[in-house]
Amino acid sequence: MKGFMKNFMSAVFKVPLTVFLGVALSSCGVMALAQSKPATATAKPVLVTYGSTGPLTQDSTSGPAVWVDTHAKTFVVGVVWLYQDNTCRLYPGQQGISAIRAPLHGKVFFTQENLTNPPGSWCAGHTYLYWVARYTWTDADETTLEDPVTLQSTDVYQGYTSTDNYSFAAMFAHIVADPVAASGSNAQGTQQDVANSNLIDPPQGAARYTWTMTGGAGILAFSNGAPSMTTTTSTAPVVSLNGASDTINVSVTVSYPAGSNSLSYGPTPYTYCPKPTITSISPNVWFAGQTYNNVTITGTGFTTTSAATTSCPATKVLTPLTTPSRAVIALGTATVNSPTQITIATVAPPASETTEGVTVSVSGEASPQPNADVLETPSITWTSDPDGSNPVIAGPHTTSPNPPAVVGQQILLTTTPTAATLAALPVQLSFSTNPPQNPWNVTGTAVGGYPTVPSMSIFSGSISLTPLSSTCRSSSTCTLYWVSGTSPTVRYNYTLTSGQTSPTVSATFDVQGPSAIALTTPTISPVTIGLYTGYLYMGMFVPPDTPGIVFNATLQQPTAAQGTIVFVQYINQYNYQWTTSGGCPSQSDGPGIDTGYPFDESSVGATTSSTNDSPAIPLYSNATAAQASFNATMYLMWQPSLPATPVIPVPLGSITWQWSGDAEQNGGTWSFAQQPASPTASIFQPSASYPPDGNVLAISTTVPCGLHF
Amino acid sequence: MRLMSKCVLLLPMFGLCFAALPLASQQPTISIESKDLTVASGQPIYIHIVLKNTTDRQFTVVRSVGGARGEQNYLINVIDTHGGPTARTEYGKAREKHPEVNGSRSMKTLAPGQDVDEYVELTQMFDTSEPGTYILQVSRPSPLDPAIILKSNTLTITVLPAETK
Repeated sequence: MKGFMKNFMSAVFKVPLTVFLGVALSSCGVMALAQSKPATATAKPVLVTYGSTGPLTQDSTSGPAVWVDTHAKTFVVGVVWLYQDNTCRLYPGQQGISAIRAPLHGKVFFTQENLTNPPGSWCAGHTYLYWVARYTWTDADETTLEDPVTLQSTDVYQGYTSTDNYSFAAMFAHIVADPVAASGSNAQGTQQDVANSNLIDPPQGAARYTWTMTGGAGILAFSNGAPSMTTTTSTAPVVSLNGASDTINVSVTVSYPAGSNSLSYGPTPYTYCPKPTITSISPNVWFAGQTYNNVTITGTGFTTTSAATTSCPATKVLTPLTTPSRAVIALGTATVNSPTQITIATVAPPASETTEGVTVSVSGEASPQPNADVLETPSITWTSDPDGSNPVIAGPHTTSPNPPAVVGQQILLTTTPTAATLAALPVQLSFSTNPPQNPWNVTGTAVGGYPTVPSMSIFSGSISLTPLSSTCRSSSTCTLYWVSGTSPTVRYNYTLTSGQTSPTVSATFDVQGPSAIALTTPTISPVTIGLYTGYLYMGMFVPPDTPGIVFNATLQQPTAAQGTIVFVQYINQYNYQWTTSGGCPSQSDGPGIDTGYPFDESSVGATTSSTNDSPAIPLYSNATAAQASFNATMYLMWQPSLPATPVIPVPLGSITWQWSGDAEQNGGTWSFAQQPASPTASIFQPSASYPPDGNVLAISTTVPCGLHF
Repeated sequence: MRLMSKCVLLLPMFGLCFAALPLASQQPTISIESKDLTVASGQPIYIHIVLKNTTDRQFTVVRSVGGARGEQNYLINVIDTHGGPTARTEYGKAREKHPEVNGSRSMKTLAPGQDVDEYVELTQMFDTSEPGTYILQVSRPSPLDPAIILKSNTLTITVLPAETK
């Protein structure tokens, strides 16, 4: 400011006995300067400019900036001539002020106005008739920043003419709206779209900005929720109260710290186009190869066709919808139903699509993020095939249709997409843990597991079948063993927690198993009392070397794999009782697996095998009678031999047989109390049924009731 | 004398000691072997027993069913590191007291040259948890003449401390 005053003085005192007085105004205050010239007279020039950043430079074409507006014929400069004799008298003469360089974008108005010199100025408190030049921007083009003007003051006195030129640039601020709305909130804290209304090139030194809005009632407001607000910066956020667009006029009055004057701008037409925002898409999970009708986009700030204007065109769904893997998802016609809803007629991801997130976006949306998932058609991989190639057996990338397998061979299947893949998607997904239906559907006969027949060790505990429903119920793996069926099929789909179910893929296996299966009982001995390994027994045998029942099995091995015949006997019930003088309760074994698993590990032929059983009850010397009733089922099974591949035996069929006897002792001699019935055995019943679950019945090592030989 | 008395204990049903019996000609033979000649204490020891018909006659024997249960048909003698009989497990004691079988069993008819094998889980019958050397032998009455006791070769099993093998 000191620099300005110094320079200004050098300009003013070329005018003899002339006083420039500028009044204005709040930002710059009043500057009063005085110096004598010529010797016969004194003058007290005072000049005050409004909003100047530098001196009014005499005879200059590039003057300082003086902010003007479109409303008030902004005061620029006022001049008056006074004697510089401290009498505060007007200097006589013909004075005036004119524009020798007219403005291009505005007009300069000249008036004579009574102005009172402000405190601190020359002759403070005195009122004079000033020659005043005021500038008003009149050009419709509000983007122009400045308008150079040159004023000339003239004083004619006693035939002597004195002129001075003062150049300056009329600076113009203008209102510009943000072209794109940004996220923000209104005064009530509600998240709203916000578009700033900015006063570009605001007057220097401005203290506050008072914004007003006309139009847009109930639709648009400033961020305080009202049609007017005061800010300390040159920006006023405008929000949409209901997500709709509207055209308004925005004005702003700029005030200065200490003065009453102000500059006003506008009204400026202002079309608010809310920023569209997508909040949800339904459905937002699309399976490859499927077509989804009427996919609904919900959001805010959508512009319908009927509400569209040149400034705010109708919202469009951006197409083509290209995925990160550069697949193109076909989208049908999109209709903007309301400011909050868009409907896409069809969404049809290609069948070859992989699993990935995609981004559906609309025109004008800021920073759209992935908001939908496309899921590949599921695939099934056989991860336990014997050759280790892990072929894909179902799905769009199948490498091994109709894979070969044998009954009893473990089939471990894995699927895609995996749970991890789904969890990593932009719209995180997960498999339903309680699907309405099992993701797996297996035709033919298959089980989830069964104990592998050991080669030697004693198998203790229980023998139980693992049902397929417990090993093929998750959406990631399935372990199964075919029991029978030549062309069984595995079908798979998965269900998401949302309830959406994927397309179904299937694989048909070429399963082989034994053929020409036969199990016969060529020997069925009667119930006998006789010596057996040195002890007396009653049982189903004929001493010394005829077994009670002989089982002969024959079959043909499948070409795909060799295997062994396995016998497993299940005791349905074995009831027995000894009669002693002190009484002996009845005993019972079964139901359960007879003695061991398998029944006879020595009978492991490939195409033929035989085993036999000669069940008997010891006839103790201190017992007076013994009764026995035995009922068992011999299961014929076959277990494949596949190196490095888990296998289980598969049932081929069974024979149920039984015997009973009732013996008594008289004087040390045992005989039948009644003639026993002939043991019976059913014919072979081909079946894929496993023995009932049960424990392996242990050999009794205790003898009840003090019995002994 | 010590061995003699031990044999009597092991063969109560026959009242005989295999060490004292002469071998008869034209009798089947018994051989035993094991993959578990050196094991860590606590590990199961399986003995493979083979009865071979080395005669010119066919005969039938009883074979156990349900796995390694050869103890139903063979007597097992185990001498421990100290030269004494090896302690039996509870199961071993019960089997010794009641060798009879109530229930299923299998018969095998062996033509000349044929054999039948069985397994015994030694550790189910005897307490071999103490590291050291165990010498075992199995025997059974001859199928052709129960008065003749057939005995196998001897087999030495070395049991190592549990942490080494």
